[in-house]
Amino acid sequence: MEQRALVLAARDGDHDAFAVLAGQALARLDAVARLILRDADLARDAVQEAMVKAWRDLPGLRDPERWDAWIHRITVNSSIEAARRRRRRVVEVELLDIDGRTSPDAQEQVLDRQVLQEALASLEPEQRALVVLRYYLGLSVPEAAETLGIPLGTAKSRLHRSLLHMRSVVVGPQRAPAPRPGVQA
Amino acid sequence: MSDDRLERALSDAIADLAGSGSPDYLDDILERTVRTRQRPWWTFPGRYTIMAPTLKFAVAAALAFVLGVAVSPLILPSDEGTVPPPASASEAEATVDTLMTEPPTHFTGRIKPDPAVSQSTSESRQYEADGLEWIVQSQTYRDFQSTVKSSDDRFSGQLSQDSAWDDYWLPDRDAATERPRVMTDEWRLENDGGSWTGTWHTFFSGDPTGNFDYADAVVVFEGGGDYAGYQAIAHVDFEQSSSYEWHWDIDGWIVEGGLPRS
Repeated sequence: MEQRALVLAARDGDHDAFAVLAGQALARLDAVARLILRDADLARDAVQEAMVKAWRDLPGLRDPERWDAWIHRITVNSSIEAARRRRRRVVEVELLDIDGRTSPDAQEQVLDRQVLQEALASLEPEQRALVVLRYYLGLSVPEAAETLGIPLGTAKSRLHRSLLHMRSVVVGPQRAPAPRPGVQA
Repeated sequence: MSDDRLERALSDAIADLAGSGSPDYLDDILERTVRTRQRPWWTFPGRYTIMAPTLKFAVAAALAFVLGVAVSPLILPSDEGTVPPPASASEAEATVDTLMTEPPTHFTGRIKPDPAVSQSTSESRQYEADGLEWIVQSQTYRDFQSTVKSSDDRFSGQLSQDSAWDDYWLPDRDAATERPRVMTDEWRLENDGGSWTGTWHTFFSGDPTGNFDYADAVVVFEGGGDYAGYQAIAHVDFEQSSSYEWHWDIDGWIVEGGLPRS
């Protein structure tokens, strides 16, 4: 059954159809929530909350073609809310192990990724959500703005500031430890 | 590191972080959802717009009827049984000159956004009461430009739109999606002849789908320049044909001398 038919059926109360939709989206939504929250357990809770909300409110979805954008939005908002709730909690950043036996190029690439991951972790949840939508889900900036429910101009400036900040972490003259999300809030 | 390289490396780094594992809690989710009742569709205001074609026609017809009734004494002969108040011929002519130089003019049109979008601002203020946090986020759009094309040249031209709204994240509501929004729009339409300005307010109770349904409104515009002494009343109806393509349909009347006062 194609996605539109599944959404229409689920919207009319067909729980089996919703189970198929949830199964199709779960890995993607889990990754989005983990990237925003940097915590697998919190991400799991956020996705569960988002899915329950999606099922409960699915009859309110006017356009079945918008299922993906809609479920992304609910999940991102659920994740941001979870991030706000745990503001004072310190989140450790997972870092890749750097293998000293790799070639200089490969090492530089791995280093870049490690630093970028640190830089990503140093963003505020709202900024990280935008970066994740843009660079993980591959949404355009207007699509990401719509998903987050913010004006396009806000999304553009927020993304610009996020990239500037990440660049400063990556190429800064001295790499001070990146601030951990939540500590400074 | 160049912008392109940063963005490519970022995509790769994020993909690394995301991993490719498949979560093992689908059954947990489905156990919860199967015990959760769905909200009936009719509790979602946004779903009513599915009936929009007929509903819109009904609204437009009702509006036209009300306007027609309101202005008919100005343009139709009086009933036989009505005794006109005593007045001199010159007074009667003066009254006619004042009120009846033109009948109300119906127009229809469309407002489409121009590519350039102006500045927007966003400010959040956080409050705490009884240990519960709530937030007011104020946002504005300034000088958002649109083009109006209507069947009446007087109501065609460039529209600048200032919008301001406050979103309220209340402590006892689902802050992710169910946040009330209070919004004010100021529209100013300009063309070679003059201008039309209208202000209107909208309240959204918060749509659990996360969408704000702009649906429709009735706006009264004051004329300026060559249109001074006129008012336009228009039914504006927000239409979104796809995620990023939208316009307003507009259906209204231009009334000389202004609308009747109650």
